[in-house]
Amino acid sequence: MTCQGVQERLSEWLDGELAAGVSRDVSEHLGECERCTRHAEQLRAVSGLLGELSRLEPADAGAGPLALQLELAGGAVVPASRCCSAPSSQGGRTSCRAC
Amino acid sequence: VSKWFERDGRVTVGTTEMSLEARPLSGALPERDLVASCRTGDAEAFARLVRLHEAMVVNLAGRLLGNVEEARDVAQEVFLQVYRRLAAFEGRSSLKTWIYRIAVNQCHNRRRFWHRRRRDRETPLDERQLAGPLLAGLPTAASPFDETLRLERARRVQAALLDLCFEHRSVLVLREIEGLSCEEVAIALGVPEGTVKSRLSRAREAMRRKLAGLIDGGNPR
Repeated sequence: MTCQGVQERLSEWLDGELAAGVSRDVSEHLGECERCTRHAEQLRAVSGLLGELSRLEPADAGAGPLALQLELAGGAVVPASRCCSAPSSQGGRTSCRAC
Repeated sequence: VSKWFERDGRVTVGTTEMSLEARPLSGALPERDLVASCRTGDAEAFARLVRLHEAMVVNLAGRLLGNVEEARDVAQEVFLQVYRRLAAFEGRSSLKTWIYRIAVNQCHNRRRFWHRRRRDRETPLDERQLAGPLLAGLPTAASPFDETLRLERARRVQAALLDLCFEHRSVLVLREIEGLSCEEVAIALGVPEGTVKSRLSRAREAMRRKLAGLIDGGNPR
């Protein structure tokens, strides 16, 4: 496998998403190529830096959406049958892999 | 105006006219039961759902939009949409992944709104000063010097993240920060898994280049 071929697959290799044979080829190449090994280390460092970012917290945990609070306070609200990916203006029901 | 809050380990939904005491949040309700209760308009159940997922939505929106106040504002819209669209949720994905999908869509809409606004008023979201909470919140570093270094690293990483296109940023945040699998990211974004993997590869490569000085100039960890 060439350096370019390896570098194109490094992201999936780091995620463990490559087929076993391809993953083995990448690993073998990394064992012999300093430049690609450095590339892989840098991609791993990017993941480390992103994982190091703090997690944000809600300002008023548990307060919930104000608009919804108003709706609930105003009376029963029947949830609409609308897919998560449908625009707000779309009344008809659609479905997707998430719903 | 009603208000949900927690006191002595109990959640209370209160309005000027009524007050409804709820079970403690620690009493885990199976997801399908929670969804079923929410569908009937049960405020107590929805308060629990919000509590379970609010931090995740705020964090995702904060990283995608680069602004904490915007993120909290978007989170309000997300849960309003969650409530209104819950009837369409049939459990093809986990509730968490479904909420992520709504959150990403809301963030995308918010960005489009700001792009239109920029044309009129020249106030792009990305050029706003990053709010402090985006850069804080990690366990305290060993010294003020280390803390300063950490904040500077976080500032540069967040800036690089905001420099990516929205498609690359969202896939990276969901995978690297929120810890979703490629399959979950695909569902959350409504794209094939192969698209997620190729976007991830390009996004990581872009970040590697943008952060080269940080990575090569010192230990990022």
